[in-house]
Amino acid sequence: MAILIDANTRIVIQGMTGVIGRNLTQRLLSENSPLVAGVSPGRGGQQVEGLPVFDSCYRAVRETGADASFVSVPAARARDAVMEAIDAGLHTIVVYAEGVPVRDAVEMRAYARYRGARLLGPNAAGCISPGLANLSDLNADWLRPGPVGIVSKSGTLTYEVIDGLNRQGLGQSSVVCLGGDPVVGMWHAPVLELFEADPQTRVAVLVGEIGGRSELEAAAFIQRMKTPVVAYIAGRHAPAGKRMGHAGALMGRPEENVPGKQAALAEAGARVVDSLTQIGGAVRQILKAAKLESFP
Amino acid sequence: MNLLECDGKTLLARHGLKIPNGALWPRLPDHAGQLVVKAQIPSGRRGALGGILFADTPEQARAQAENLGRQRLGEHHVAAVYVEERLAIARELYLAVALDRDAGCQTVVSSPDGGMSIEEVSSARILKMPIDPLTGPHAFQLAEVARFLADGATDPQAFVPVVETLLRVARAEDTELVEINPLALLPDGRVLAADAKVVLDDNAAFRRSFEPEATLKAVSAQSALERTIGQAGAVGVEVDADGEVIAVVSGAGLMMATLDLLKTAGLRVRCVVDLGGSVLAGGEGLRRVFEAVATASPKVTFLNAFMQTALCDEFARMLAGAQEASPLAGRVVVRLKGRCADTGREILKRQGFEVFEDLAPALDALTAQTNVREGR
Repeated sequence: MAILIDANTRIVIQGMTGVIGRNLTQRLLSENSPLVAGVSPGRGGQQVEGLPVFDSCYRAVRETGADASFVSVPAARARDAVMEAIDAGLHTIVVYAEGVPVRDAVEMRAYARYRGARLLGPNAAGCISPGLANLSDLNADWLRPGPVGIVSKSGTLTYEVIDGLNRQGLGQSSVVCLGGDPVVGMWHAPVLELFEADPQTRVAVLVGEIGGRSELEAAAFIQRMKTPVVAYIAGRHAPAGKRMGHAGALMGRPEENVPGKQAALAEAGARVVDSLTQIGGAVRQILKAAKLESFP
Repeated sequence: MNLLECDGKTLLARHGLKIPNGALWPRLPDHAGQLVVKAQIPSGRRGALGGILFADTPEQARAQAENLGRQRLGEHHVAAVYVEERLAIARELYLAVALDRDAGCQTVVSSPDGGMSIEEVSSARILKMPIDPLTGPHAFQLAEVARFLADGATDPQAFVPVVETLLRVARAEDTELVEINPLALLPDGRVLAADAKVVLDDNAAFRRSFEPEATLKAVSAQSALERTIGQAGAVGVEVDADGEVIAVVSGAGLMMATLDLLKTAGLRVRCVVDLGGSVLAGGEGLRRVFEAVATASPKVTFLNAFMQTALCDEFARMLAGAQEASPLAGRVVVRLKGRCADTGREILKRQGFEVFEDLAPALDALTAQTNVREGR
């Protein structure tokens, strides 16, 4: 089991004929990710790495039964690409572009909610279920199936968490990156909800950062969770009033800063670690205490 | 981008909102009565800092403007001075359209009690009306906001077009905030924007025609180092002007965590840099970031890259090229991990850098040989 995507998912790449799209196509195919087609308006009929390219999401869905999309188009065109994907019935969508206007993000998020689609991003690395499917820019070679679910805003920080888990010999059920923009589709809590319902996930790791209320909403859900959660929040030393690379990482109200989020998560029962390098050890301890260590 | 008041008002007027008759000094508005002389600085505390003066005659206004234009108010250099007619105001109200990142929509914030900071107004006197992005504003929502502003004292109809126009500005110009405080109700029933605070979404600049002239001329809030790094396509955040370490990192999340790790280890950090995808994709960006960092001559440069999309050996070659073009004078500690990182680390060792695969030994090397603040 895994969440969001698995071996039965049928993935399209919107913008497959671009440089990033072509590179991603090669990689996902070499990883045996269930990639079925590309979408590039005006390039229907072409092929990339032997996969068909369609003019629209509608055609890709009709011809291939696609249900998930990695949107690899420039920021200015992301909104229309996402709206079309949702309208065509794709229901797990990753928006990779950085620098999407916030009005466009607002509209794509609202439309995704209205139509029941799961939107990661903008500015998201995507999601991966190791050994089953990859809908992200993460390199599948680094991951292996296992008991730990990861939900994070940042992609680069996620590599670091996976590295820490690898040192402990621990694999992942699914890894989900939400994106660093102020307005993004999914937040931490609905992803935790999926991990809670997933029998493979024995521990969930929440990686958050300063700014916004996603981690606070997650804390409210963690109170009701049976699956243990390890939490880390980045940005303790971020100077006030500066956007820390992620447009959404800006000090806001006090409860949205590191101590505020840490306190809410700890109170909800999460195991909060101060340093990025402590996550792997904390997960190992929890599994050991629960005698789940032998799990894959 | 935070617009100065004069640019914000120009933008509002362009969409049909009424603003007082005003001009940027050395011009004066064509107005016979009293004048207000206003320093153009991006601060809500402008009045408290002495940035708003009243003049009875054009001569007095001219003298005040000349004086104000040479001043610093708080941390701000006065970028320009704006002179406008002094209004006879019957009531001061508050009206804003603000992006609510958590609700994921624009929200109309209104209060019949304007003229003071909205944080000081009691919550019972503030109405927040979220606008569904899929439907846009409904007539009944505009009517409710108008009734709340009118507060039973005046005809609500006067406010409906104002609220409607402000929402149109927010949409057409891609704003994160448009705040009018005070919104002035004049004795003759006219409604004017007596002040304007506008924050534009920089990501939408490509589809916006408005050029905020005064704001662009003003000194940016960024430091010179941050600006140079920004021009190279990366994001620089200055932390401590006296710091001795500059950390250059392969992503935003990792940049924040790296800053946390360095500070927790007791190191003084001058600046952190998020290289971001466009710089890592190749081209001139990395060399320009290197130039900017070299110019700041840090005692220690810490490169922290963990990459699975970009190739570490290509990155290392780009770094080696940049180092030859504009060498870093101090120590260079590198943590390089990811795709093809073995080759990458070999290339960088030949540059004389201290190279590590993992974060922990790289941090140990940094703290072992760099002055750690006393008492930490």
